[in-house]
Amino acid sequence: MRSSELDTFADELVEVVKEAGWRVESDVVALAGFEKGLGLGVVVRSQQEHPAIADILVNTLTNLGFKVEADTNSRVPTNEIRLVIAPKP
Amino acid sequence: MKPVCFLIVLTTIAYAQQAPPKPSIQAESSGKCSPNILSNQGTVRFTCNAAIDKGTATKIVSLLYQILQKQGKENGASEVDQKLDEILGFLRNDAQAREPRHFTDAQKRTLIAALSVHAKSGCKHLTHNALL
Repeated sequence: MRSSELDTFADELVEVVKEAGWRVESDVVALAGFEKGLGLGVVVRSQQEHPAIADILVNTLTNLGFKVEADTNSRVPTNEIRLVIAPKP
Repeated sequence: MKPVCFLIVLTTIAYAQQAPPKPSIQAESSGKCSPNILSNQGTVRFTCNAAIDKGTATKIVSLLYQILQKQGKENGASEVDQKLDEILGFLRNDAQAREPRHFTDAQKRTLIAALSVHAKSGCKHLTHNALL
């Protein structure tokens, strides 16, 4: 069940990402390899194969004071970043 | 409801030590946690209207009680200050953890600026997975 805090924060983040010129493909209900399921997560295919923007996204969010966990999942396409917005830890 | 429990426990400790006099000085301040301490004698009552779970409240009461006991035995003001600072830090972190996540306008601008550079230079593909 989604909380209003989660919904509001997710909407804000998606809005920012869209405003930056990125296409948010879909709102998929899936863990996407982010096993912890709490807080913010950025999931990419692997440490070697991932868009450079993923590192910037993690670093920028971290510098802004948000706790972000980076994770890998071989099911994620190379050119894709999965941004997981989960309930607060 | 929980802050009320916190107040009751504190009051119980005060009463257990001695029959407390009614506060002779009344003062008010604003804010979620507003201690008014105008005298170093008698009963001091902390009213904290922030959301605190029972476990946290018990820990705080326990710490305060230990501080009071130590102060009586050793009269170590610096140690008491240190403990109080620890409590304040704990409360601040606890309150911060309960605040809803939110992007300020400045944070939005920073994030947009960081992400815009790469959005213009190539891949514009991002999947958003919201956990339900």
